[in-house]
Amino acid sequence: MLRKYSNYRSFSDNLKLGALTAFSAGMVNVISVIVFFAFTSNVTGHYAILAQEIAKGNWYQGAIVLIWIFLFFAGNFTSNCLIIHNNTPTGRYMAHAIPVFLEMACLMFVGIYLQYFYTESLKETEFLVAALLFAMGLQNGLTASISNSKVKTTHLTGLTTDLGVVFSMFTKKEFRNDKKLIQKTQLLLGIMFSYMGGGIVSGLLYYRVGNATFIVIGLVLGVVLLYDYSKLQVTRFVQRRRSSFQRRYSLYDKKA
Amino acid sequence: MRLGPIYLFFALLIVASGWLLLDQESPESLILGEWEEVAWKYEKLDHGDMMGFDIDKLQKQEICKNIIIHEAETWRFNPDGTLSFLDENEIKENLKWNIKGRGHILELHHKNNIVEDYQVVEVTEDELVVQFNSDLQVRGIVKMTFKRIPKKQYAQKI
Repeated sequence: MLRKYSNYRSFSDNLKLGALTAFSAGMVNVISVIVFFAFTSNVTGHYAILAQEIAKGNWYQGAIVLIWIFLFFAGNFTSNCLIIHNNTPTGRYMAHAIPVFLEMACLMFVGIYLQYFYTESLKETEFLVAALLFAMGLQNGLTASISNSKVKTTHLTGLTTDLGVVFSMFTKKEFRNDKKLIQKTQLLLGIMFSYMGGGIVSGLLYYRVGNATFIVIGLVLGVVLLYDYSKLQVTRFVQRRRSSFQRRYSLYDKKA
Repeated sequence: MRLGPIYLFFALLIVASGWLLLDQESPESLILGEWEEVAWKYEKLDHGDMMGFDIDKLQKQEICKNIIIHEAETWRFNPDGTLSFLDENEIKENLKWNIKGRGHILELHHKNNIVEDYQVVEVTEDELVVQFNSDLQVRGIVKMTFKRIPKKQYAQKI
Protein backbone atom coordinates (compact mmCIF):
# COMPACT_ATOMS: atom_id res chain seq x y z
CA MET A 1 0.00 0.00 0.00
CA LEU A 2 2.71 2.48 0.99
CA ARG A 3 5.85 1.01 -0.59
CA LYS A 4 5.04 1.71 -4.21
CA TYR A 5 4.83 5.04 -5.92
CA SER A 6 2.95 6.58 -8.83
CA ASN A 7 2.50 4.28 -11.86
CA TYR A 8 4.26 1.35 -10.16
CA ARG A 9 1.20 0.88 -8.01
CA SER A 10 -1.23 -1.87 -8.88
CA PHE A 11 -5.02 -1.68 -8.76
CA SER A 12 -4.95 -3.85 -5.65
CA ASP A 13 -2.50 -1.46 -3.91
CA ASN A 14 -4.79 1.49 -4.59
CA LEU A 15 -7.92 -0.38 -3.57
CA LYS A 16 -6.46 -1.47 -0.22
CA LEU A 17 -5.03 1.98 0.52
CA GLY A 18 -8.20 3.75 -0.60
CA ALA A 19 -10.57 1.52 1.35
CA LEU A 20 -8.65 1.65 4.64
CA THR A 21 -7.87 5.36 4.60
CA ALA A 22 -11.41 6.25 3.46
CA PHE A 23 -12.74 4.16 6.35
CA SER A 24 -10.63 6.17 8.81
CA ALA A 25 -11.61 9.48 7.15
CA GLY A 26 -15.30 8.60 7.45
CA MET A 27 -14.78 7.77 11.12
CA VAL A 28 -12.96 11.05 11.81
CA ASN A 29 -15.55 13.13 10.00
CA VAL A 30 -18.52 11.67 11.84
CA ILE A 31 -16.92 11.81 15.28
CA SER A 32 -15.90 15.44 14.75
CA VAL A 33 -19.45 16.35 13.78
CA ILE A 34 -20.78 14.58 16.88
CA VAL A 35 -18.26 16.09 19.29
CA PHE A 36 -17.38 19.46 17.74
CA PHE A 37 -20.21 20.21 15.29
CA ALA A 38 -17.65 20.73 12.53
CA PHE A 39 -16.67 18.71 9.46
CA THR A 40 -13.01 17.81 9.36
CA SER A 41 -12.43 15.60 6.35
CA ASN A 42 -13.58 18.02 3.69
CA VAL A 43 -13.13 21.73 3.18
CA THR A 44 -15.61 22.54 0.40
CA GLY A 45 -18.25 23.41 2.97
CA HIS A 46 -15.73 25.49 4.91
CA TYR A 47 -15.11 27.67 1.84
CA ALA A 48 -18.86 28.30 1.56
CA ILE A 49 -19.08 29.05 5.29
CA LEU A 50 -16.09 31.39 5.06
CA ALA A 51 -17.81 33.37 2.31
CA GLN A 52 -21.03 33.42 4.32
CA GLU A 53 -19.32 34.63 7.51
CA ILE A 54 -17.47 37.37 5.61
CA ALA A 55 -20.74 38.47 3.99
CA LYS A 56 -22.40 38.61 7.43
CA GLY A 57 -19.47 40.51 8.90
CA ASN A 58 -18.68 37.78 11.44
CA TRP A 59 -14.93 38.34 11.35
CA TYR A 60 -14.06 36.11 14.28
CA GLN A 61 -15.86 33.07 12.80
CA GLY A 62 -14.45 33.90 9.35
CA ALA A 63 -10.90 33.97 10.74
CA ILE A 64 -11.39 30.62 12.45
CA VAL A 65 -12.68 28.98 9.28
CA LEU A 66 -9.80 30.45 7.27
CA ILE A 67 -7.28 29.02 9.74
CA TRP A 68 -9.00 25.62 9.56
CA ILE A 69 -8.73 25.65 5.76
CA PHE A 70 -5.07 26.63 6.09
CA LEU A 71 -4.43 23.69 8.44
CA PHE A 72 -5.89 21.28 5.86
CA PHE A 73 -3.63 22.90 3.26
CA ALA A 74 -0.65 22.61 5.64
CA GLY A 75 -1.34 18.90 6.10
CA ASN A 76 -1.30 18.32 2.34
CA PHE A 77 1.84 20.45 2.00
CA THR A 78 3.70 18.59 4.77
CA SER A 79 2.72 15.20 3.41
CA ASN A 80 3.87 15.88 -0.12
CA CYS A 81 7.06 17.58 1.07
CA LEU A 82 7.99 14.47 3.06
CA ILE A 83 7.32 12.28 0.03
CA ILE A 84 9.13 14.24 -2.67
CA HIS A 85 12.19 15.00 -0.54
CA ASN A 86 12.70 11.37 0.47
CA ASN A 87 11.87 9.66 -2.78
CA THR A 88 14.67 7.10 -2.75
CA PRO A 89 14.07 3.35 -3.15
CA THR A 90 15.43 2.68 0.36
CA GLY A 91 13.64 5.50 2.17
CA ARG A 92 10.37 5.34 0.26
CA TYR A 93 8.45 3.30 2.79
CA MET A 94 9.54 5.60 5.62
CA ALA A 95 8.72 8.71 3.58
CA HIS A 96 5.24 7.36 2.94
CA ALA A 97 4.81 6.08 6.48
CA ILE A 98 5.75 9.33 8.29
CA PRO A 99 2.55 11.20 7.24
CA VAL A 100 0.50 8.25 8.55
CA PHE A 101 2.50 8.34 11.81
CA LEU A 102 1.87 12.08 12.12
CA GLU A 103 -1.82 11.56 11.39
CA MET A 104 -2.02 8.88 14.07
CA ALA A 105 -0.23 11.21 16.51
CA CYS A 106 -2.75 14.01 15.81
CA LEU A 107 -5.70 11.65 16.27
CA MET A 108 -4.30 10.18 19.48
CA PHE A 109 -3.62 13.68 20.80
CA VAL A 110 -7.24 14.68 20.13
CA GLY A 111 -8.56 11.48 21.72
CA ILE A 112 -6.40 11.82 24.86
CA TYR A 113 -7.16 15.53 25.18
CA LEU A 114 -10.89 14.88 24.88
CA GLN A 115 -10.74 12.15 27.49
CA TYR A 116 -8.64 13.88 30.15
CA PHE A 117 -8.47 17.64 29.60
CA TYR A 118 -11.41 18.88 27.52
CA THR A 119 -13.52 21.49 29.29
CA GLU A 120 -15.74 22.11 26.25
CA SER A 121 -14.53 25.68 25.77
CA LEU A 122 -14.73 27.23 22.31
CA LYS A 123 -10.94 27.77 22.13
CA GLU A 124 -10.30 24.07 22.74
CA THR A 125 -12.94 23.08 20.19
CA GLU A 126 -11.37 25.33 17.57
CA PHE A 127 -7.89 23.98 18.29
CA LEU A 128 -8.93 20.32 18.22
CA VAL A 129 -10.88 20.77 14.96
CA ALA A 130 -7.73 22.38 13.51
CA ALA A 131 -5.67 19.33 14.59
CA LEU A 132 -8.16 16.97 12.92
CA LEU A 133 -8.17 19.01 9.72
CA PHE A 134 -4.37 18.91 9.68
CA ALA A 135 -4.50 15.11 10.13
CA MET A 136 -6.97 14.73 7.28
CA GLY A 137 -4.83 16.99 5.11
CA LEU A 138 -1.83 14.75 5.81
CA GLN A 139 -3.82 11.68 4.78
CA ASN A 140 -5.31 13.21 1.66
CA GLY A 141 -1.93 14.58 0.57
CA LEU A 142 -0.32 11.17 1.04
CA THR A 143 -2.92 9.11 -0.81
CA ALA A 144 -3.27 11.58 -3.67
CA SER A 145 0.48 12.02 -4.03
CA ILE A 146 1.57 8.38 -4.06
CA SER A 147 -1.29 7.18 -6.25
CA ASN A 148 -0.98 9.86 -8.94
CA SER A 149 -4.23 11.43 -7.69
CA LYS A 150 -6.15 8.20 -8.31
CA VAL A 151 -6.97 7.79 -4.61
CA LYS A 152 -8.55 10.67 -2.69
CA THR A 153 -10.15 9.54 0.47
CA THR A 154 -11.23 12.44 2.63
CA HIS A 155 -13.90 14.04 0.47
CA LEU A 156 -16.38 12.56 -1.91
CA THR A 157 -17.22 15.46 -4.23
CA GLY A 158 -14.63 14.49 -6.83
CA LEU A 159 -15.39 10.83 -6.32
CA THR A 160 -19.11 11.30 -6.97
CA THR A 161 -18.27 13.34 -10.07
CA ASP A 162 -15.99 10.54 -11.33
CA LEU A 163 -18.65 7.93 -10.60
CA GLY A 164 -21.21 9.92 -12.57
CA VAL A 165 -18.79 10.17 -15.50
CA VAL A 166 -17.84 6.47 -15.37
CA PHE A 167 -21.43 5.26 -15.21
CA SER A 168 -22.35 7.50 -18.12
CA MET A 169 -19.48 5.87 -20.08
CA PHE A 170 -21.06 2.50 -19.40
CA THR A 171 -24.14 3.57 -21.33
CA LYS A 172 -22.01 2.95 -24.44
CA LYS A 173 -21.43 -0.70 -25.20
CA GLU A 174 -17.74 -0.41 -26.10
CA PHE A 175 -16.82 0.84 -22.62
CA ARG A 176 -18.64 -1.86 -20.65
CA ASN A 177 -15.81 -4.36 -20.99
CA ASP A 178 -13.01 -1.83 -20.62
CA LYS A 179 -10.85 -3.28 -17.85
CA LYS A 180 -9.42 0.09 -16.80
CA LEU A 181 -12.86 1.64 -16.45
CA ILE A 182 -14.17 -1.35 -14.50
CA GLN A 183 -11.21 -1.16 -12.10
CA LYS A 184 -11.70 2.59 -11.70
CA THR A 185 -15.36 2.01 -10.84
CA GLN A 186 -14.43 -0.68 -8.33
CA LEU A 187 -11.90 1.63 -6.71
CA LEU A 188 -14.36 4.54 -6.50
CA LEU A 189 -17.13 2.36 -5.13
CA GLY A 190 -14.71 0.78 -2.67
CA ILE A 191 -13.72 4.22 -1.36
CA MET A 192 -17.33 5.38 -1.22
CA PHE A 193 -18.59 2.39 0.74
CA SER A 194 -15.57 2.41 3.07
CA TYR A 195 -16.10 6.09 3.85
CA MET A 196 -19.77 5.46 4.57
CA GLY A 197 -18.94 2.36 6.59
CA GLY A 198 -16.37 4.27 8.64
CA GLY A 199 -18.91 6.97 9.36
CA ILE A 200 -21.56 4.51 10.50
CA VAL A 201 -19.10 2.51 12.64
CA SER A 202 -17.80 5.70 14.22
CA GLY A 203 -21.31 6.93 15.01
CA LEU A 204 -22.23 3.62 16.63
CA LEU A 205 -18.92 3.25 18.46
CA TYR A 206 -18.90 6.75 19.91
CA TYR A 207 -22.11 6.14 21.84
CA ARG A 208 -20.64 2.94 23.30
CA VAL A 209 -16.96 3.61 23.88
CA GLY A 210 -16.79 7.43 23.71
CA ASN A 211 -13.39 8.91 23.03
CA ALA A 212 -11.79 5.47 22.69
CA THR A 213 -13.15 5.63 19.12
CA PHE A 214 -9.97 7.55 18.31
CA ILE A 215 -7.96 4.48 19.31
CA VAL A 216 -9.98 2.40 16.83
CA ILE A 217 -9.19 4.94 14.09
CA GLY A 218 -5.53 4.71 15.07
CA LEU A 219 -5.73 0.91 14.78
CA VAL A 220 -7.12 1.17 11.25
CA LEU A 221 -4.19 3.38 10.30
CA GLY A 222 -1.89 0.95 12.13
CA VAL A 223 -3.05 -1.77 9.73
CA VAL A 224 -1.98 0.46 6.80
CA LEU A 225 1.47 0.89 8.35
CA LEU A 226 2.02 -2.68 9.51
CA TYR A 227 0.75 -4.37 6.35
CA ASP A 228 3.54 -2.86 4.29
CA TYR A 229 6.10 -3.19 7.06
CA SER A 230 5.41 -6.92 7.28
CA LYS A 231 5.63 -7.22 3.49
CA LEU A 232 8.99 -5.42 3.58
CA GLN A 233 10.26 -7.78 6.27
CA VAL A 234 9.18 -10.83 4.25
CA THR A 235 10.85 -9.42 1.12
CA ARG A 236 14.08 -8.76 3.03
CA PHE A 237 14.00 -12.24 4.55
CA VAL A 238 13.55 -13.84 1.11
CA GLN A 239 16.35 -11.69 -0.32
CA ARG A 240 18.70 -12.67 2.52
CA ARG A 241 17.90 -16.37 2.08
CA ARG A 242 18.36 -16.10 -1.65
CA SER A 243 21.73 -14.34 -1.40
CA SER A 244 23.05 -16.81 1.22
CA PHE A 245 21.89 -19.71 -0.96
CA GLN A 246 23.62 -18.16 -4.00
CA ARG A 247 26.83 -17.72 -1.95
CA ARG A 248 26.77 -21.35 -0.86
CA TYR A 249 26.01 -22.53 -4.38
CA SER A 250 28.90 -20.51 -5.84
CA LEU A 251 31.30 -21.96 -3.18
CA TYR A 252 30.14 -25.50 -4.02
CA ASP A 253 30.76 -24.72 -7.71
CA LYS A 254 34.31 -23.55 -6.96
CA LYS A 255 35.09 -26.70 -4.90
CA ALA A 256 33.72 -28.92 -7.64
CA MET B 1 6.01 31.93 -12.29
CA ARG B 2 6.76 34.31 -9.44
CA LEU B 3 5.85 32.59 -6.21
CA GLY B 4 6.86 35.41 -3.85
CA PRO B 5 3.63 37.43 -4.12
CA ILE B 6 1.52 34.28 -3.72
CA TYR B 7 3.39 33.21 -0.56
CA LEU B 8 3.15 36.78 0.73
CA PHE B 9 -0.59 36.87 0.09
CA PHE B 10 -1.18 33.62 2.01
CA ALA B 11 1.12 34.71 4.85
CA LEU B 12 -0.78 38.00 5.13
CA LEU B 13 -4.11 36.15 5.20
CA ILE B 14 -2.94 33.97 8.06
CA VAL B 15 -1.48 36.90 10.00
CA ALA B 16 -4.72 38.86 9.46
CA SER B 17 -6.75 35.88 10.70
CA GLY B 18 -4.59 35.60 13.81
CA TRP B 19 -4.94 39.31 14.45
CA LEU B 20 -8.72 39.11 14.02
CA LEU B 21 -8.90 36.26 16.51
CA LEU B 22 -7.02 38.33 19.07
CA ASP B 23 -8.87 41.55 18.32
CA GLN B 24 -12.48 40.39 18.00
CA GLU B 25 -14.53 39.07 20.87
CA SER B 26 -15.40 35.41 20.56
CA PRO B 27 -19.07 34.33 20.64
CA GLU B 28 -18.25 32.59 23.93
CA SER B 29 -17.47 35.87 25.67
CA LEU B 30 -20.09 37.91 23.81
CA ILE B 31 -22.87 35.69 25.07
CA LEU B 32 -22.03 36.25 28.76
CA GLY B 33 -24.60 38.26 30.69
CA GLU B 34 -28.38 38.49 30.95
CA TRP B 35 -30.65 38.19 27.96
CA GLU B 36 -34.36 38.85 27.79
CA GLU B 37 -36.59 37.03 25.32
CA VAL B 38 -38.24 39.50 22.99
CA ALA B 39 -39.64 37.40 20.14
CA TRP B 40 -40.43 33.88 18.99
CA LYS B 41 -40.95 33.47 15.31
CA TYR B 42 -41.39 30.71 12.75
CA GLU B 43 -38.77 31.65 10.24
CA LYS B 44 -39.22 29.07 7.51
CA LEU B 45 -42.25 26.91 6.85
CA ASP B 46 -42.52 24.07 4.40
CA HIS B 47 -45.93 24.93 3.04
CA GLY B 48 -47.53 27.88 1.34
CA ASP B 49 -45.72 31.07 0.59
CA MET B 50 -45.30 32.05 4.20
CA MET B 51 -41.76 32.87 5.13
CA GLY B 52 -42.35 33.86 8.70
CA PHE B 53 -44.91 34.79 11.30
CA ASP B 54 -44.88 35.61 14.99
CA ILE B 55 -45.67 32.94 17.55
CA ASP B 56 -48.20 33.94 20.15
CA LYS B 57 -48.12 32.96 23.82
CA LEU B 58 -50.39 29.92 23.43
CA GLN B 59 -48.37 28.50 20.56
CA LYS B 60 -45.21 29.09 22.53
CA GLN B 61 -46.64 27.19 25.49
CA GLU B 62 -47.55 24.28 23.24
CA ILE B 63 -44.10 24.15 21.67
CA CYS B 64 -42.55 24.26 25.12
CA LYS B 65 -44.85 21.51 26.38
CA ASN B 66 -44.03 19.06 23.64
CA ILE B 67 -40.31 19.52 23.30
CA ILE B 68 -37.68 19.89 25.92
CA ILE B 69 -37.46 23.58 26.10
CA HIS B 70 -38.08 26.09 28.80
CA GLU B 71 -40.36 28.98 29.16
CA ALA B 72 -38.00 31.35 30.85
CA GLU B 73 -38.11 35.01 30.11
CA THR B 74 -34.54 35.70 30.98
CA TRP B 75 -31.44 33.65 30.29
CA ARG B 76 -28.34 34.42 32.36
CA PHE B 77 -25.07 33.08 30.97
CA ASN B 78 -22.43 32.93 33.70
CA PRO B 79 -18.67 32.82 33.06
CA ASP B 80 -18.35 29.57 35.03
CA GLY B 81 -20.27 27.72 32.30
CA THR B 82 -23.63 27.70 34.04
CA LEU B 83 -26.85 29.11 32.66
CA SER B 84 -29.75 30.24 34.80
CA PHE B 85 -33.29 30.46 33.45
CA LEU B 86 -35.22 33.17 35.22
CA ASP B 87 -38.91 33.85 35.21
CA GLU B 88 -39.99 37.01 36.99
CA ASN B 89 -36.61 37.15 38.72
CA GLU B 90 -36.93 33.63 40.08
CA ILE B 91 -34.45 30.99 39.00
CA LYS B 92 -36.41 28.23 37.28
CA GLU B 93 -33.50 26.03 36.29
CA ASN B 94 -29.72 25.96 36.36
CA LEU B 95 -27.83 24.07 33.70
CA LYS B 96 -24.50 23.90 31.88
CA TRP B 97 -23.84 25.65 28.59
CA ASN B 98 -21.07 25.63 26.04
CA ILE B 99 -20.46 26.82 22.54
CA LYS B 100 -19.25 24.45 19.84
CA GLY B 101 -18.27 24.47 16.17
CA ARG B 102 -16.98 27.83 15.00
CA GLY B 103 -19.13 29.46 17.64
CA HIS B 104 -22.41 28.64 15.91
CA ILE B 105 -23.82 25.92 18.18
CA LEU B 106 -25.12 26.57 21.68
CA GLU B 107 -25.31 23.37 23.68
CA LEU B 108 -27.37 23.22 26.86
CA HIS B 109 -26.87 20.31 29.26
CA HIS B 110 -29.80 19.78 31.57
CA LYS B 111 -29.35 18.03 34.90
CA ASN B 112 -31.28 14.98 33.66
CA ASN B 113 -28.59 14.45 30.99
CA ILE B 114 -30.74 15.86 28.22
CA VAL B 115 -28.84 18.01 25.77
CA GLU B 116 -30.41 20.73 23.65
CA ASP B 117 -28.63 22.22 20.64
CA TYR B 118 -29.45 25.62 19.26
CA GLN B 119 -27.91 27.31 16.27
CA VAL B 120 -26.53 30.73 17.13
CA VAL B 121 -27.59 32.91 14.24
CA GLU B 122 -26.27 36.13 15.67
CA VAL B 123 -24.65 37.30 18.85
CA THR B 124 -23.69 40.93 19.27
CA GLU B 125 -23.38 43.38 22.15
CA ASP B 126 -27.14 43.95 22.08
CA GLU B 127 -28.82 41.02 20.42
CA LEU B 128 -28.79 37.24 20.55
CA VAL B 129 -30.65 35.22 17.95
CA VAL B 130 -30.88 31.44 18.19
CA GLN B 131 -32.81 28.89 16.16
CA PHE B 132 -34.13 25.44 16.80
CA ASN B 133 -36.13 23.02 14.69
CA SER B 134 -39.73 22.40 15.51
CA ASP B 135 -42.13 20.04 13.75
CA LEU B 136 -45.24 20.84 15.73
CA GLN B 137 -48.36 21.78 13.77
CA VAL B 138 -46.27 23.32 11.07
CA ARG B 139 -42.76 22.18 10.41
CA GLY B 140 -40.31 24.99 10.50
CA ILE B 141 -37.45 26.72 12.19
CA VAL B 142 -38.24 28.64 15.31
CA LYS B 143 -36.19 31.76 15.79
CA MET B 144 -35.77 33.17 19.29
CA THR B 145 -34.55 36.70 19.67
CA PHE B 146 -33.11 38.08 22.90
CA LYS B 147 -32.13 41.56 23.93
CA ARG B 148 -29.27 42.15 26.36
CA ILE B 149 -30.30 43.47 29.76
CA PRO B 150 -27.80 46.14 30.77
CA LYS B 151 -26.06 45.31 34.06
CA LYS B 152 -27.43 48.31 36.00
CA GLN B 153 -31.00 47.74 34.86
CA TYR B 154 -30.77 44.08 35.83
CA ALA B 155 -29.48 44.94 39.29
CA GLN B 156 -32.30 47.43 39.78
CA LYS B 157 -34.85 44.84 38.64
CA ILE B 158 -33.60 42.39 41.25
